[in-house]
Amino acid sequence: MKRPVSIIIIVLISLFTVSCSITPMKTNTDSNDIKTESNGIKNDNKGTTSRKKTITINALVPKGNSNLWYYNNMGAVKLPEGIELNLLSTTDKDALAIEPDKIITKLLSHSNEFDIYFIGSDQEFAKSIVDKGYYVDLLQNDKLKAYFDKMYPQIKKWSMSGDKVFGFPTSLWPDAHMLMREEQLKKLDYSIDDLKTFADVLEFNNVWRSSKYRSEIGKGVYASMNEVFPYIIKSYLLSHYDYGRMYEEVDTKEFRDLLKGVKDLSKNTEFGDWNKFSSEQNYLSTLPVGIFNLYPIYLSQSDGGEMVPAPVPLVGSETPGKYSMPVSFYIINPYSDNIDAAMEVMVQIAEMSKHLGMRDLLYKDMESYQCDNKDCQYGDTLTKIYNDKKMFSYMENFYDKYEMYFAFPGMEDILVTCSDYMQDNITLDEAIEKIKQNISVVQRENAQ
Amino acid sequence: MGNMKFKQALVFLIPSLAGLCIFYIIPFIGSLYYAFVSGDAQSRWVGLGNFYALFKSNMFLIAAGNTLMFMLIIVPVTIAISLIFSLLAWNSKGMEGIFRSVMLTTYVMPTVAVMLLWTMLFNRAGTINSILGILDLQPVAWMDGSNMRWPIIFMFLWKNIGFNMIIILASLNAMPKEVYESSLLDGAGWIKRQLYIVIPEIIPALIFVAIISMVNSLRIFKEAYILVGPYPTDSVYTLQHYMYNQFKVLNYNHVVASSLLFVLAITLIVGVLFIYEHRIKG
Repeated sequence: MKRPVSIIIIVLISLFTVSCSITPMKTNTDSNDIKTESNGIKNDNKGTTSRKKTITINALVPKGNSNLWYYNNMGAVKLPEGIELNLLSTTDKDALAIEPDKIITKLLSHSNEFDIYFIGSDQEFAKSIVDKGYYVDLLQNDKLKAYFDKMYPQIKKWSMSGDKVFGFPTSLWPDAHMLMREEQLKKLDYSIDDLKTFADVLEFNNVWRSSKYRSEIGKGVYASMNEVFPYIIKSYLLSHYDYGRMYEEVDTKEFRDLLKGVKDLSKNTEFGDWNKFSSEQNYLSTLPVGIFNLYPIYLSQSDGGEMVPAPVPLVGSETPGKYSMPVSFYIINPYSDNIDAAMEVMVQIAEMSKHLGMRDLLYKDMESYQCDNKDCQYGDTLTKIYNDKKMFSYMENFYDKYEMYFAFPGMEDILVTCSDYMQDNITLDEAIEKIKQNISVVQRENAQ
Repeated sequence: MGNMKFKQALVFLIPSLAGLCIFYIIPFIGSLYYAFVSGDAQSRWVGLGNFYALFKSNMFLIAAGNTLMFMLIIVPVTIAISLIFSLLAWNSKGMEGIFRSVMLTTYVMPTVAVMLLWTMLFNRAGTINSILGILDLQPVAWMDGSNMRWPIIFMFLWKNIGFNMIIILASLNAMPKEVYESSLLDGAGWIKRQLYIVIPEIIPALIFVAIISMVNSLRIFKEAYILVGPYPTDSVYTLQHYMYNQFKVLNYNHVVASSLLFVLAITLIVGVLFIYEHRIKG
């Protein structure tokens, strides 16, 4: 009798040790008669009966996040007959909505708990989700295909993996860009065209700081949200990232100059205190010149003088790359029981994108949306502002100069290292060594 | 009679076993399927392909080697130090309680706080290097390259020896006193008494300590992660680093396959120890 008990104890100890290290997996045990195939995955659609279908959307943000006005307005959409929405992130019961790791776990276990989910290209797991096929090709739906055909070609390209569209873009923002007030520039005999390189930006910063206009305005030149500086580094890393050559790329004079330059910029900047301003509008209108990491929608709210937007010049002339333009997507869960209904909801999301301000960001030649109820008035107001401020041409210009890059594994840790260097916790050499180490591990872990 | 005792033991074991089954064993068995399928959304059957990929992976081999290395260093050193300290405490009349309290303090301290403390001790301008400077010795880059494993090992030992001491001291106190007292009367010296009388009596406790230390050494990830993050130098890159990072890129099939190998290795080692214990008792 003792021997079996010993064996059981041995196995239990082993399993206990390992179970602490891995995430439990769950298998989808639903069984249904009707099978459809999407993206190579057999789906068990729960019947074609006339009962109401609930489409569950799992976002990554809680209700009230102003950046997700688009998402939060979904409840106002008129859905097709027989479909209702269950917005997980707008209820208290679902804490996983704000924890991306839990969404990964659900996808890996082929969960059908949600039909549509939300990811941003700047999340480290986003590329793996797309590469491994955890989506349904939206081009299967003719109505959605029509929307994608009218999008700016760059945005459509960013939404595609091979010849399939993996998700519907819902928000996009340039990682770092400059807003210049022309009249301020003129006072210093500068124009936006003089700031072509990152070195020009650094030099202009010094010119501004030593000018008499500084005291007149009472602010630093590059007043901005603090996180903008890491974004400049992030853009460089993303635009140069390649599993095969990144290891060498970070140990270059170019990258060292970038780190030193950004550190210098951050040390010599008097930040505007965001909290002191009643609104983004107030904040932007007070600034003479700034570097931002903001949703384009905020730019449309500025007033108090003509602002000239421009990308922050990239470091280096030999391998300039492009600045990063993160994009968020709604994606249909390939293990959903209601893929057809989820497609219909996606059509509604696309329809919403014609108003609420997104039309101007996504579509090149989409016909105007006829606002016939109060739910779309806010969007139409924004559209008017966009028109007044020539935001169409502004964004078009940006789509040529920016690129959507997926975050790569380990990127967040590299940015933490850069931040440590900028805060004088480590030296430049130590930072470079640590980043090289980070990239070396990632490269070898993912080597085929 | 034996059967009756087994049934009684089972009654007490059932709550724990039920928890283990529900939260560990069943999910683990459920996840085994993923060791044999592809890591994409289609989950195609690939047989032993994932295991083949693991053994071709440079980082998996480094991780497995480091995990084994940590175990080979930590287990004997932990047992030796715990045993020496326990014997000292047991033999020092009236001081055992103080010894035990002091040593156990390290075990109950949160790992994060301990790691911050040890970082202050071992970083470039830390206390250890300051002492080396006073002694006119060259400072050591403890946090770089292969040196990095030593602060982690020191910290692990410092933190876990107290718990092992409690187990060994309990065994020492439960030991029959007659044999020990006879050896005293026969004039055996202190070292001989410990080697030939005391240690053989507490072998089962030492085997238990060995198993616990081994299991803990295989889970040294927490310390390394806090100290150097998820992408450390090769010298402290363990199997848990590999699993954690593979999960982040959704290679869950590799995570499960490496876990399975991990289970087999631990089962084998623990099994050998149990057989050894059984033979000694026999």
